[in-house]
Amino acid sequence: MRKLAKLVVSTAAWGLIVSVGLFYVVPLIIWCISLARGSAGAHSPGVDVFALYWSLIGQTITLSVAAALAAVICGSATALVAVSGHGRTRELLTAAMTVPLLMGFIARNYAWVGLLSQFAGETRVLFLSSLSRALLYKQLGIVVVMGTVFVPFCYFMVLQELTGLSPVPLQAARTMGASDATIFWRIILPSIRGSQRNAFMLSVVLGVGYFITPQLIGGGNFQFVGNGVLVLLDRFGLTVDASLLGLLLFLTVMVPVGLTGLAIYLKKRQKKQEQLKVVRKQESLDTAAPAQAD
Amino acid sequence: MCENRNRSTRPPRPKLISLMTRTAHAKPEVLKGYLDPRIQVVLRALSALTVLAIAVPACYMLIWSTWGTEVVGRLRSLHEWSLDWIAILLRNPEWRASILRSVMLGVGASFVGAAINAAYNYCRRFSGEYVKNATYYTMIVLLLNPLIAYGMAVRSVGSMLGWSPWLLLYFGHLLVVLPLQYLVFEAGAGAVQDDTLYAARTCGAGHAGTLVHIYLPKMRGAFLTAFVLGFFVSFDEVVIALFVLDKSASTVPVRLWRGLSEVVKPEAAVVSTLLLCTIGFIFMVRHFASGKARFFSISIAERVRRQAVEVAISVGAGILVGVLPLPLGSLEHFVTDLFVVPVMYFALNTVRARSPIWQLIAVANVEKPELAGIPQEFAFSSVESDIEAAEFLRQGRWIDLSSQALRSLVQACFAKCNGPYFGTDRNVPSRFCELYPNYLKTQLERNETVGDVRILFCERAALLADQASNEATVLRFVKDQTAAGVLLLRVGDAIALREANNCHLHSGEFGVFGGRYVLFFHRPEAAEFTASVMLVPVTKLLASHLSDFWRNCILNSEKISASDDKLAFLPLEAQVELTTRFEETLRIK
Amino acid sequence: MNRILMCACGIVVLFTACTDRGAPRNPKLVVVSYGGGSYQQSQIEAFERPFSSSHHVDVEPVVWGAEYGKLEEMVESGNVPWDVVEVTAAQFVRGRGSLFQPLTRTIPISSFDPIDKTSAPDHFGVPNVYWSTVLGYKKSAFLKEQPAGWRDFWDVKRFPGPRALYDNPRATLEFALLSSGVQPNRLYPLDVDRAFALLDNIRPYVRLWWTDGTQPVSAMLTGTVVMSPAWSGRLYASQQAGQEIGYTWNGAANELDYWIIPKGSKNVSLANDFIVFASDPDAMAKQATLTAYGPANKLAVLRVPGHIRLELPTDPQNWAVSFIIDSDWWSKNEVAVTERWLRWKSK
Repeated sequence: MRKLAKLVVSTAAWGLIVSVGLFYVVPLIIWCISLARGSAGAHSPGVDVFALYWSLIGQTITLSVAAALAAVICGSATALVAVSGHGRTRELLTAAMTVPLLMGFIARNYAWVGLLSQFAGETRVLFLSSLSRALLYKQLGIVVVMGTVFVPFCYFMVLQELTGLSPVPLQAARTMGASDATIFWRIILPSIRGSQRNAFMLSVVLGVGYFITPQLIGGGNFQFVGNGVLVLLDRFGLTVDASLLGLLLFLTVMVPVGLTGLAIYLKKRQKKQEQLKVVRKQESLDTAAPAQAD
Repeated sequence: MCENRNRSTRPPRPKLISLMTRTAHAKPEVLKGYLDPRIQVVLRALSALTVLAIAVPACYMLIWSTWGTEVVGRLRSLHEWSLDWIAILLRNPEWRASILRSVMLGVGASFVGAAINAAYNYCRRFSGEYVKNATYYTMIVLLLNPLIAYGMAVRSVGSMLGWSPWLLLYFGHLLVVLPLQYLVFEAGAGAVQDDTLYAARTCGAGHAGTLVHIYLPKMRGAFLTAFVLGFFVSFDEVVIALFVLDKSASTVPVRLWRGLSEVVKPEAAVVSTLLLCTIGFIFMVRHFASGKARFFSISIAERVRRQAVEVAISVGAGILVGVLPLPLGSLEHFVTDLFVVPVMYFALNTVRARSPIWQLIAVANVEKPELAGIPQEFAFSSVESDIEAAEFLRQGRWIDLSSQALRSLVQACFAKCNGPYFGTDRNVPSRFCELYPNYLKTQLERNETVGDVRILFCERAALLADQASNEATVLRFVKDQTAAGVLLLRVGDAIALREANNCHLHSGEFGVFGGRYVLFFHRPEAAEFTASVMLVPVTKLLASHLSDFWRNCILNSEKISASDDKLAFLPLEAQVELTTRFEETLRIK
Repeated sequence: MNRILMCACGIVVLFTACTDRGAPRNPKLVVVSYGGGSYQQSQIEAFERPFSSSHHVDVEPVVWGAEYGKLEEMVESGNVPWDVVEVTAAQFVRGRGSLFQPLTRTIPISSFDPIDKTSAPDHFGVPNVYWSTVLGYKKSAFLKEQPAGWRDFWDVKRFPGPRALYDNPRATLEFALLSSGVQPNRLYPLDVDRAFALLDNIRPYVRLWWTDGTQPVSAMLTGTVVMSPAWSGRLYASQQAGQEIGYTWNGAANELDYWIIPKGSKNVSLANDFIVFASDPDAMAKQATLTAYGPANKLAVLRVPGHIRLELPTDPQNWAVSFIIDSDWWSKNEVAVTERWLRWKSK
């Protein structure tokens, strides 16, 4: 009975992967097959998907990278303030970072449209009017709004790293006469670089798949690949072309992610193997030493 | 009054913020004093800008939903605040249907996702490292997956297999919430140590018992966080829904996105306001429930009443879901019912605070009590119903008790332990009668003249003053105690406090039942409780401390009698006899 | 107690699963409007509600954005939940014979006098309204001289300020060509290269590319833009509300909408009845009164009150200075032009 229970439990541990396999991998495979079949058959001419992709991907990646950079900088700054103040500061900042996650994504974007439209006309406060002109339906507006979408993720990831920071190196550096600025640039910042990098990558990947913010905030001036997919699909029913464009987007994201993941895995495995080698070497030395003593 | 010395810390009340992110209660002020002032200025400026960029649109949505006009970006004058837009939205049957659909999808996908993750998080502790690594990389891939491509894939599958769009959407949402909930569970995995689970298994508990009685109660915080996060993410999901649903039926975000041509524009603001109000409500309920959910501190009648309310709410919610004329097929409706009603039940049950140690011991107790080192007479058959036994096992923790619960506990203590009772109390007789109106009856119901000893810690003057102002009560108290064979003594407050501190006792007020268990007393934190108690078994060290304390109190004691002679110091022989009797009692195991 | 609770939950679940929550007593008809808000509301008031009460039918109003692809997929999959759909003229040309069900009932000649030869009822569909895209402007931005046509829209020196344009090449290319002096009767076939070159000139001044009908009106009211093409019905409603937006009919682009029945609809006969009902002059006149869009039926136009008739695209004065979008040309070239449009926008 206990063996059976053990088997059930160890099988159930694969439950999450099985769920993903069933509901994610299988639909993707079916989609690719139907896309291949559709491409092989006749479909409406007139859309050069690759040309469209190349014309849209540049803008997509540029704005996503800019938004991710802004989010990482602001998120890191906020996290640093959170861990350098009182407990109440940290709680307030964390609450502020949680609010956007609860508001609704479309609502958040629409809030900016409404807010900036409020000041678009003549207002007594000139800088608000300028702010509206600078952001509403502009690239900077897309960067700012997408940045505010990504900031909570960046904040939590960097905060996680900062709270795990040991004060010992900081104290040691202070003891050895390092200035606060040096401590910041040489110890604190490098220690959060890993989480900043992860947050940046996550934000870029998420941003590449966006289409709502460019549509609402960009005012139609800037198209992401996702907007192109929707136009092809909804307006013209060119399912195959839209799928091909979607697949190109998918590969744009997942190929670098996959390669990065593979590189990390191989690096970890190599490290583990080296550690094992050292341990084995030590063991062999230990066994050899008593034999020699004998 | 005797102060506690070694008061165990109560478990901190969980706050929603700490449930939302583990890091909010991590090490405080890590970098305080290490940041250069100029750099700090820059960081604070950036931080303020960030918070403004987040908070201002959120505030604007609240304003827009109550001051908005049909024109986007135009507010009414400040005198024209109204809830019209909220009313328009909520009165619209299509919007109501969309909200209900989104809620059901969110609840269903989030609950099942959290359940899958909870099961995985448990099972992986008994599995190899490779499972953990494989799952980690899979979840990362899922997290970074562009939803547009996945939405198209789901749509393709749907049209090929002819599945209902709601079923497709449900699976899509499940995939969206799974990786986020995975991260929450991984972050909260430290709440239950692997060793605890292994200990439960060693004590004979099966996987089912360990999962239900130990793992789930400890992980309820993570489960709730995962559920809430998953719900809001699912509620907000629009990409997959856009690909899968047509315009005849839509979720809230799809209705917002597609409704750009509608006239009523502040819809997005209203939805946002409703979402924020909902999370505020959840926060208040959680905060209230976590503070008040000390389930074993309330009387049985109150507990029955609360369970009845829970049943009513769960059943009512199920009926409400069932009878609403939703434009869903019966299969989908049945499926959503399966999620909503159990979720309601589970959610209500998880707010009960259960001691994890009790869970562990209770599980072991049910199956093999001797393995847990618990005497046979404390073994009980039903884990949930034996409240007295449960209280016995909460060792090393202070518990707030109502009058009813205290009486039950003391009754059980007297019932379980034969032998004399040696107790101390800091209250004068009339105060004692006022606080514990049934306590004497409980004691007197034992029908034995067992030679119990009760020491009252108060100054002589206070006792005499009490006697003078509450003559009848005090006289009655003394007569009843004496008739039952209870010896009443008085020791000064200051002496008791000093001795309790010197002897390292949890509290100077205690009752020793048959020399086996000590019930320490303390003034409760909240006014609605009668006492705060801690029940501990008498160990060798504790016996030694109690013995020292007793000896020093007896040396300074005065006997309280019903006669007009009032108080008189105990003769030396009586002191010796009482001390010896006490120590002998402690030696009985 | 917990066992009791779980049993109660189980009973509730079974109860709700097994009960019939009331199948509709009346037959149901799904009618899809192109455009929501006040336009859909006008159809509900003029067509759907009266039809529902006279024929004892439950009419479910739905809105769509003329996503042709969606309709195509529905028909190809055989899963068609819609019964009557309002399509654009270009889509009508594309889909007739392949996506649309032939009508089983014809409109009586006595009750339908088409505005022009292109708006006669067809075997596959019946024209509904002419809707117009006109040039709107913020009155307070142009106190001395107000824009009178598309040439003024492109003249950023005489009429400075940010503009908005419709994010769709259909009608926008025509406006560009009209601004350069091309006559409306010589627009087609469109000189697409020239149109894009003209759009390159105005592009730096275009702040917003709108996709829904309320956006240009909102943008002009808040001062985000000073000029924009907009749908005449929305501007009319805005004027009725006393708002400060003016518009001109010079160079207005008229498009016709058709009622069709998609292939695979489950209520073909009922759908036909609805189309006949909605093509009645009185019903069409009632809708026109509410939206100021022009009925394709002259008999209906005559029934519209005088002051509203002046605001209709089909009013002779307005009709004379506007043009009709060539649905034949667009049905053949829409895909290629839109792809070029997307690439042009992303530069």
